[in-house]
Amino acid sequence: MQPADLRVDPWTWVPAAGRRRPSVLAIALLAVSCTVAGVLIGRLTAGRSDVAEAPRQAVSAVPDARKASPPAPDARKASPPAPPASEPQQEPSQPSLALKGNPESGKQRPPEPVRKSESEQHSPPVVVLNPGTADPASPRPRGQRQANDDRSRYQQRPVRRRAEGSGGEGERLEGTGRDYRALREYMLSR
Amino acid sequence: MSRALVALMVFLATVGTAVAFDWVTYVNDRFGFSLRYPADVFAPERRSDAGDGEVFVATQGHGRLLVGAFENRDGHSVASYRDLIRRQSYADYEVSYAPRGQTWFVLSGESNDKVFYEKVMFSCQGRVINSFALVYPIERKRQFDPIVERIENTFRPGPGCGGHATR
Repeated sequence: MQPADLRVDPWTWVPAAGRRRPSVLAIALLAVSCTVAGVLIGRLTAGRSDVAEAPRQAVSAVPDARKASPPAPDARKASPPAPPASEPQQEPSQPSLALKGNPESGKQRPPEPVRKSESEQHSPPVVVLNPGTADPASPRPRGQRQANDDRSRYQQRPVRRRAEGSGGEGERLEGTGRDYRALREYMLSR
Repeated sequence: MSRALVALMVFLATVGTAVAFDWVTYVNDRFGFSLRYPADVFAPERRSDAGDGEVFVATQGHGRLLVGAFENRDGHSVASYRDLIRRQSYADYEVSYAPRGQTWFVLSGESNDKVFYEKVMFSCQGRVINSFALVYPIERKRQFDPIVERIENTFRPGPGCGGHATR
């Protein structure tokens, strides 16, 4: 199909045969250059130089993790939704029943490595800002260490495992839900 | 023709920007859910003591990513939980996107200065609720939107029940 002729200023006829069509090669080159530009922009704006190295205990780069987990569409088909709650308007309440422990979870979670002693070794010496007011009878280096902000504590300490503590299973599970909600509130409040 | 070229350029630039990041896989040890996120955009900030969730903060700007799972002890359905978080977490937002399936839903919307996107997937026969949520400044929407899309595409609920939700 022959494209229509164009009439351009200053009103000269440009025959269609004389016009150049953009070649496929030019479009491909343009596409490649745009992709490269996008990659470069992404790399340049990533700004990783001012970020501390992420703790890799939490992030496990597992290439075959997606193989192990079922794909989302199958999961959607296989698992029917839970029955509706009697009071859906309420905040999820604390559990009333203690759930059974699972030995497999114990296998998956090795006991926490002794990181406290490590952090104690690397923690800076305590500096008393007001020596005159300090109580020599009760030095509290441990308390002062605990006064670090959450972020530094988080970076020093791995996840506290569920097997720790003296409470029962029900108590631990209460803490689990509360922790997730606390995280959620923390995130949404920012 | 020129419009198509411009659209192609924008699309490729967007895709290229998303692909350019250093994507790593996050796997929750406890519940087994996983997703991929750009490690050079989000850095871990806070983690729950029980290992059921984690918050990541954007290295530039104010974006935040929350991933987590918990046991559905209240027996929430997809609809009831969606209504709950819409009312409790996103009351200040105008929800503009809310598709829903049998075992999942998405909520997304905007406020005056922020955008949120949350996807929730029920697993373990509805006894475990897995979710990820992003909140980021509205002025960085163009940067975060392709990231959100890719995170969603890689978000998978855990194969098990977290070791405690079995009955």
